[in-house]
Amino acid sequence: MDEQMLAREFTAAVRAEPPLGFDPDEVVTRVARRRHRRRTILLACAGVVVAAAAAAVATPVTRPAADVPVQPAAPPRPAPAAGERWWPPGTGQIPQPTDARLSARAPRIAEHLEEVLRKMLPPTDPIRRDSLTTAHFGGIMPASQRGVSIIEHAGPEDTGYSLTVEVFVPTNPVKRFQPRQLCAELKVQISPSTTCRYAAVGTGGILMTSEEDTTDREGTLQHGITVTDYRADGSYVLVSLGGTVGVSAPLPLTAEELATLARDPGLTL
Amino acid sequence: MRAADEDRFREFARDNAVPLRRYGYLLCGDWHLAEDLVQATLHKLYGAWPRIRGTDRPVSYARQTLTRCWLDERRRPWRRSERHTDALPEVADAAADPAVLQQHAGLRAELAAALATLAPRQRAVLVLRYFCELPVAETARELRCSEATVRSQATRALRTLRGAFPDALAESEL
Repeated sequence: MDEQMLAREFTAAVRAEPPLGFDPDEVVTRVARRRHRRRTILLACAGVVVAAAAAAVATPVTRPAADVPVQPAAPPRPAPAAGERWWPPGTGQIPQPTDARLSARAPRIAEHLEEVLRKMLPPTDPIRRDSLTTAHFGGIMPASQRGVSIIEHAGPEDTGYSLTVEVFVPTNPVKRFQPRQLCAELKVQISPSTTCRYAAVGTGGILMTSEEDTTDREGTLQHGITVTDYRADGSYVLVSLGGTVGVSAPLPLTAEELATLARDPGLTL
Repeated sequence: MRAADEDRFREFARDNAVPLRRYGYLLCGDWHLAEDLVQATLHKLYGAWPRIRGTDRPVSYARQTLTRCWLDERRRPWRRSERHTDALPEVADAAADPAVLQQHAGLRAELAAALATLAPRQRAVLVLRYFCELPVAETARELRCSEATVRSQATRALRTLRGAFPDALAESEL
């Protein structure tokens, strides 16, 4: 076999090619949506870390001089509102899942999620898994997170909605933050229309719900809801629901339903 | 990514999905895997698009990315553990399904088997040189190796193929 023969064989081999089995436009739309959501989360987390670092630097550490009488301690203040709580609770290290553990848990979490979604969503809405990844987010954040990220598409192919579910733990050393700092950053980075609500969960957990209106690249107004369950064990579950680019339609799940989903005990590493 | 950039990337993806799939198919010998490789390539290119759109070689960059995706794919444990020892038997019903027939269209079985015995980079050299018709210098640039390496890899790969096709060699020498 010589070069000319090989070239002829190659050309002949692709001449009878099957039709393209995917739509390049759809692939681009999918990756654009995925990156947008990831950027949203990363920017928000980066903002939190910056705010937490700034707060730590700005807090003066003072000691009374030896001849200055020590002021009596102020009476204990009431527990801070949920948005003011520092998370994760405690200052210790957070146990990290191994890669093998993440790989083993990822499909189980996705299956559990789909089982729950089938009960929550209208029975006529088909559910399709867009992606399932075990991710290690880093890059622009001083502290990264590890865990499982799932994107599900539900409803009609062209007019459905997209649900992102992420189960993560921050990597050590952990930077603590307050949810209200995160919300302030969301207002700057995502949309000034962002509204946040917080609820304390037990002694160390916080449930944060944010809703925002944004304009997608086709100029359509989109409403998004994101609920994050910051758990007392240092892990968190983020559930984010949004519509299809160019389609304005009501979301099929309420913030309360998304909160129920985020708090599902099956979504754990 | 800005809307204008995204539109350009969409156009690029539409224009190059088929040529990239052909390239991927000749690398891996499987149309389905080739489609997966193209999609993985588009995912990676999307992030890099603002950086490469201004260059005069986005297609070359895409081919390099696809080659790396394929090499990564071959390193995966389930790929390493899978070794084809023979062609899959045809089932009776497949002949009735044009879609199945089309999926089987492509490289002759003997050539596909011979190509599968080549080292991945040797195969990439052959496809870039004799299908994409790239000169040695360009092939070396895409594979990030020296021109001498490209020449030696091509020579070795062709020698291996000649060993698998002695009749073809005799024919070509006539």
